[in-house]
Amino acid sequence: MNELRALAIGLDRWVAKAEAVVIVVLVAMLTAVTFAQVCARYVLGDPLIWSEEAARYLFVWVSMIGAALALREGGHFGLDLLIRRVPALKPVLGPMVAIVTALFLLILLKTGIDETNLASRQFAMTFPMRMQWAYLALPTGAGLMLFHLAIHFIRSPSMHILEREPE
Amino acid sequence: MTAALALFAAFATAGVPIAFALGAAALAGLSLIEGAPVRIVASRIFAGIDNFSLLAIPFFILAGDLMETGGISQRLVTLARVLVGHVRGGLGNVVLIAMLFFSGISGSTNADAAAIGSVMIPAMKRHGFGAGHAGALVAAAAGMGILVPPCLTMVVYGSITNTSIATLFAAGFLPALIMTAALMFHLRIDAERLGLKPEPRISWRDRAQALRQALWALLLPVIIFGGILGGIFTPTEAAVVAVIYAIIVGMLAYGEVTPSYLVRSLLRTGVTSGIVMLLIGGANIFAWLMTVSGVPAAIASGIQSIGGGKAVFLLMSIIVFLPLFALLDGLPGMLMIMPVFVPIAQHLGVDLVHYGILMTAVMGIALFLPPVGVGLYIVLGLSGATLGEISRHLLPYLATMTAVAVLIAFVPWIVYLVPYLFGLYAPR
Repeated sequence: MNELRALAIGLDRWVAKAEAVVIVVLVAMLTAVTFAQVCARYVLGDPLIWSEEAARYLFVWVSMIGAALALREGGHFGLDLLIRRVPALKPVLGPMVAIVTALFLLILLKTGIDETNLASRQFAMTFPMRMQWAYLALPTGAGLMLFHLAIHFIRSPSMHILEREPE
Repeated sequence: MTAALALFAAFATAGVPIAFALGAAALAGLSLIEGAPVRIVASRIFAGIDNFSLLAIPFFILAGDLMETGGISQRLVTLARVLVGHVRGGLGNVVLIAMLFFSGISGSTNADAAAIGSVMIPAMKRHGFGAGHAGALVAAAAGMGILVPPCLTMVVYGSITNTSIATLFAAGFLPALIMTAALMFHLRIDAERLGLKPEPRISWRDRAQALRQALWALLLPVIIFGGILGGIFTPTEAAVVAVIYAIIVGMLAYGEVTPSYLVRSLLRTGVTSGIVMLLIGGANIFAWLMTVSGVPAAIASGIQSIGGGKAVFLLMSIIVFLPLFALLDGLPGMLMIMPVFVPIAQHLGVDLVHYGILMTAVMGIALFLPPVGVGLYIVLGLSGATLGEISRHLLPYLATMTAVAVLIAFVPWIVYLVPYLFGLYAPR
């Protein structure tokens, strides 16, 4: 049992590292694409048509993966007043909060998969890409958040989602 | 709808992150509406993020992060010190002026408070300021600084309400200067009462030297606003140019941005963007439910039955925003209340640029409002003062700032003047 737990925590750390790498690469690409748009328009006088749409979809990916890593680090905005003032409530509130969050994420995962399937029939406006690749960010992000939430729970069931994961 | 609001309050109090609390409460409310399509959850979140104006958010975060190195805040503080250190109130004025410079580079209020506070609070303590007074001044200055563009709050407000972000940016300048002047005046009175001594006057040669050292950092806001106000760049494009400029200056001119620092900045930017965008996505679901259930119209007719129209509504907005933004960390509170209040503002004929600047000004105050404002805890940590000590000094400053907010509410030309001069606003 303890080995499984260690394995899960190890996997969580590995996933978080992978997310970090993906975020760095995507933000760099986002910056490069948008800067290329500025250069093309103002320096070369020949505006790119695809850059704005590409940057928007890249940003959807950055946001969803970033939100996942933020969840692991306890970084999302939330009211911690109650758990700070009345720490005794934490063992009760922690799991309750996790359940509400998980329910929302499950619905996001399900509807995200549905939207992704629907989008497989559409194409991006300015370049030949199926829209499913943009929408896929939603179920991916929701899935990663659910994964981190589950590990959070395995690690310490009473831990609150607004707290930082101990390394 | 009442059920959704009550659930949101319950979730948020228990500590469900606001983004999920908004989404989950809206879903519960949706399930009560007959035949409500649950699949809007994914599409509303996607639509909430998929917006080119909002791309300014990661770029302003990244540019600010790259310029927030120790050396740059030190240089800007030095410049402010040689400019206004000799004015009565001494280093307190330096905090305010340094914050004006710094907020013009960074879009994040908490980062501003941390950067200026870490340099100025120890210095003020050495010059006879109490820890509580020093912390309170940094808090007040950072609260004012939110009005100085670039400002993430304005980017979010502008994107969601379809208000020009360039106009909002331009509109923030004069209110920021008026608030700074009001705080400097307040400080002057304090200085006499507390017997604070000004610093010696500095020679023009030393001033020129300080300006030269801060020049590369100060050119950044010049590029951003020159580009935006001159109609050359969109705010998103100006933000990405600022990033490239910050990388070049940080690496070559100041040598403080190393490749590993850059990688960490990219990562922090992605994570912070994720937090903000998920919040916008969650709020977008909530907004949909609000609109579908006709909440704004109901409240608007309630306000009209009270009478007083615009004036009552603007005052009521300030009174509602202050505690709400303090409790919900600013941006989440704003995203939650916008779907209710913005349609009412439109209904009553309040200009959305005016309303956005008022909302931003109130947010600056709320972020530092004792005992819950998030920014307050950053200043507490830096100053080592207790909450009570800081509050005693801070509350009078916040009162002055609130008076300026009321002034902004009733004298809209404070907001319109600069956009008008740059041709971004036409009076009706």
